[in-house]
Amino acid sequence: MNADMTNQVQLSTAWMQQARRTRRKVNAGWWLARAMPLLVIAGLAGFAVIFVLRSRGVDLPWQRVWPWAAGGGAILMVAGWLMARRQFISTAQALVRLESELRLHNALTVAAAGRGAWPALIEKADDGWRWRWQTVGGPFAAYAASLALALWLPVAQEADAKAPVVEPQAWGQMESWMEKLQEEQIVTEEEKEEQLAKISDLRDQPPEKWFSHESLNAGDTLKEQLQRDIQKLAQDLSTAERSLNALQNYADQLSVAAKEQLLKDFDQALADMKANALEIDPKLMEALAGIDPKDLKGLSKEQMDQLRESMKKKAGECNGLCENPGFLGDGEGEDDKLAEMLGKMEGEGEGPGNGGITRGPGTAPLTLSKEENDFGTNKTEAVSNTDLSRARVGDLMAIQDGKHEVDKTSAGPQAAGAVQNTGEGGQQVWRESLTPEEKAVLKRVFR
Amino acid sequence: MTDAYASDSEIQTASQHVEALRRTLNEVLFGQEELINLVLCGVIARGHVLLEGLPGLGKTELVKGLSKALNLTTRRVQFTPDLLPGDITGNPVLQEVDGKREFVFQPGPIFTNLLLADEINRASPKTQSALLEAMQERRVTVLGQTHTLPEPFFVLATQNPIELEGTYPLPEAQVDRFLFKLEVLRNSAETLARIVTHRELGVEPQVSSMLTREAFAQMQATARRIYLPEIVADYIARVVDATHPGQSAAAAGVRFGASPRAALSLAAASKARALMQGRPNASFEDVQALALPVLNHRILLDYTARMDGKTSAGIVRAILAEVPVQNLATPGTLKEAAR
Repeated sequence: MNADMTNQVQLSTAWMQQARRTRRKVNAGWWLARAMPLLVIAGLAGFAVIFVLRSRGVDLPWQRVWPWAAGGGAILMVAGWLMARRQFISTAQALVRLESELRLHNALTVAAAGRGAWPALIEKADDGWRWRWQTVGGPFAAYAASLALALWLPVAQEADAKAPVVEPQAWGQMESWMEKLQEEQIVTEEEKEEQLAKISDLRDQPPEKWFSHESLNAGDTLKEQLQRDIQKLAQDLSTAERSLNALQNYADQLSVAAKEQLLKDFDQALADMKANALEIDPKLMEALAGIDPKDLKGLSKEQMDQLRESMKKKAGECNGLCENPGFLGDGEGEDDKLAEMLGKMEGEGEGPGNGGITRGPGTAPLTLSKEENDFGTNKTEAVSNTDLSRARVGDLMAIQDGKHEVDKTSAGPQAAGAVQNTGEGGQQVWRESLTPEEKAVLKRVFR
Repeated sequence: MTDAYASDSEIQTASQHVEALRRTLNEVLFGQEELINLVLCGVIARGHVLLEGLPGLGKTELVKGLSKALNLTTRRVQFTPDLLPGDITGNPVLQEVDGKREFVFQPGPIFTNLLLADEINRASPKTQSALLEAMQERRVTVLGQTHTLPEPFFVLATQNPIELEGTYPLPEAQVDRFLFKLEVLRNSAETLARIVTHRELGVEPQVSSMLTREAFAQMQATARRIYLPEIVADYIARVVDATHPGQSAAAAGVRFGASPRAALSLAAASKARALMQGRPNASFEDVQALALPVLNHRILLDYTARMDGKTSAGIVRAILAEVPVQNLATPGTLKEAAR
């Protein structure tokens, strides 16, 4: 009796182990089945992310990627497990699976319920499940391959979004003017900063608005104002220098009225310079204010010459800045150079350029050609509308020559209601074969 | 106090009795082991059996042999179109009792243990329906008086499938009361040779009684106490449910599926089969083996399916192939190994 019980316990343990193995296998199958789609989707998403990052110049070595890939894979597997839990089978269900596969007449379930004895063990008991290795391995391989491919594929890097945007040329032009004026000690540091602040205000706009109408208009207005101020300054400096020069070197030859006029011009120039919108360098103003044009003997001839040269140079600088402030924009007379270049081109206009890196300068064919180009505009061409979907009412579709197609086969009058096959009275008509439609009707009727 | 489930000794005893019965009946009817097993299964499960087959295949011999082996009283009624209900159930007869004339009920041939209803489809529907109450409730009501039939009571009916003229197909309600509808197939040449060697025309085979009536009743009681695991009951329910239109792919073309009585019949028959095989429990295999005889006559096909050549038996086989023993889906990462 005891031996029998021991044997039953051993059989119970063995069968339950077998059932647990089956349960683990089926549950692992469900787990993988739920995680596989996530892996494939994550692989594609990872591919896209890595590809985009690499195209934007982010350096992604595989040593940096694989821990993320492994971590992401682990998270997906956990998510898959959570999703698959509802489908997990119990050990009792695994027992049923085993007994139905081994055709044990539900002996395992009955024994587990205590209603019967455990059956003898079966060598190589098979639960009937086989792994679909392609299904299992495919998504893992796809996940790994997607990430590897994203790391391996050569990508063209996109242009750096932070690269400096081209700004309106007037701004840089004005900045260079102010730098130059300050460098030549014509205007004060504060004046330069003030002007630069105005430019900076324009620059603080969003880059996409830099070339808006309002922005360009404001920049041009500022530039024209600055240009006028510099020109006025140059003019005043020249006037003062010329007056001093005349008073210094030609005083003996001048009439009293001329001297008076020169003195008046000098004073007016000084007053205009003080009134200029640009704040003149204090040292320059002091030097000019310290001169008494009526009594220039207070300064030596060398000092006067030096002062005049300085004024002349400054006036020249100011004039140089304002000379041709054209579209090439650095104030050094590129407009003139361009005009000169265009003039040469006009003279050389024998035909269009030949292309390539040595192309041009050349002229458009219509500019200087002696003979009129023939574009064939006087030819008459047939136009046919092949796309009739766009034809409008009244459009001519086609014209065709031909005769009317008349059916010339003669047909005489026919008697209507003629019956080809007449049945005799009492005859029964049989239909031995039915068409599919007739069959369908019959099926519907007799259903 | 009786245990809720059959004990090993009871099962052992019953199994021995079944084996003896089987041997005896195999001596009566040669080459019909499967038919004999199903008939035995039907009577152990307290069910009525409808045998369908050509004349001369031994249907009547089988029933007579069974009644002798089980030591049961047997009546045979040849159903004909002019048979009246009273001819089966019995009639009240006016008799003089103690100087008074009163109706006295004269029991008909249905008052027996084993009723052999030969060619049942020849009787009029009215007469066939007289069997309804008897088959289901094992009692007969005549002139307002209910008479209980003897225990056990079985109807083993036969019908001839080829002669359709002058026959009345059994109403669905009555067909549903038969536990099994069994097809009696023709014998093979070897079997015919045995029959010719061992039998003579007009001489009935000798059958000795193998079981007392009480022992048979005990066997039936044991069959009812066979353990039906919950998973097997669930399987029976899903198989029967799948016979209804729209409940399974296999049921396409079915007009009416099997009734709850079919599920009960399948469970009872499965238990009886388990007892016959000496097992303490019914199993998936029992259900699969008995689904065809239990469900075949309970599934009605529509006209379209019949035109397409479908049969009830084919649909039952398709349902068994479609419905899994456990209501569990298979993960896509695993496949079922082909056996």
